[in-house]
Amino acid sequence: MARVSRWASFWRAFIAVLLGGSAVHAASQAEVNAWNAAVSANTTDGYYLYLSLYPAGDYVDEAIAALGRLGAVGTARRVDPIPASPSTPSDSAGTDPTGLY
Amino acid sequence: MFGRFSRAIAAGRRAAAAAEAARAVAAHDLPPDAGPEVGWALLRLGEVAGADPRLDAHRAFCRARGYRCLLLSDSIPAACVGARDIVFEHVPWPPHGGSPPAGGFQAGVDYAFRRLGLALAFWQVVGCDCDGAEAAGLLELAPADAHPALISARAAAVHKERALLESGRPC
Repeated sequence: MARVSRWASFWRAFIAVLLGGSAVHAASQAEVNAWNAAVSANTTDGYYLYLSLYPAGDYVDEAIAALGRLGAVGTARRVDPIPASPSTPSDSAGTDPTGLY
Repeated sequence: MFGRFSRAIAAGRRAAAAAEAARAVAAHDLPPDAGPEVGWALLRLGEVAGADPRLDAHRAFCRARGYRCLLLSDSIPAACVGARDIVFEHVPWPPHGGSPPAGGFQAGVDYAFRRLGLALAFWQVVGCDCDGAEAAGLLELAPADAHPALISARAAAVHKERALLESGRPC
């Protein structure tokens, strides 16, 4: 399975460059080097640095996944959308002794 | 023709090596669809009058990549008022305050970075862009224990500036 994936990557990039030349996006050597360095270091700082250098890079998803594995970012935190109009608290009058809120 | 073949082979080798590295990471990982919801921040100090193309570009980037969009600034721009797709976090920045912060400038800087660290951690920010010289100046003051997104943003800015200088292009 791993062998197939590696060869698939090879042929995809090979054909892209052969047919499309530089018009087809492929990770630059500098980006691949940065990614390999981040993987080798396997630290949060390394992955953050890769993301800062290549925010739209080819390995962004892997870098974020690695940050999750290292505990830098956790599981999804749900944030409710902002309501269309502010709602008036109904029970605040009884709990706020100052009566201001 | 031979040159194109050579470039294609080199690109293929790079892609294969990168796929190998990516698989090394993924071997220990959660499946891709279980990834955390993360954010990307834009750090800015000072007010922007009129059109705000930098903020628009930031929002478009976050929307395209699926990031929660954050703006870290000492003043809330009009575009953020009522906007549902952007989170504004206030950054207290001493030079823009009406009065000097208690404890002096350094205390104000420390407080700003603590505030930034809390915001970045809460929103699980994985990247931070810097808008303007003042924001870059703030990053220059980042302590060693600042949030890694800030440290890496500073390092990336230095790296890009150096690359521009080496390429001979004007900044």
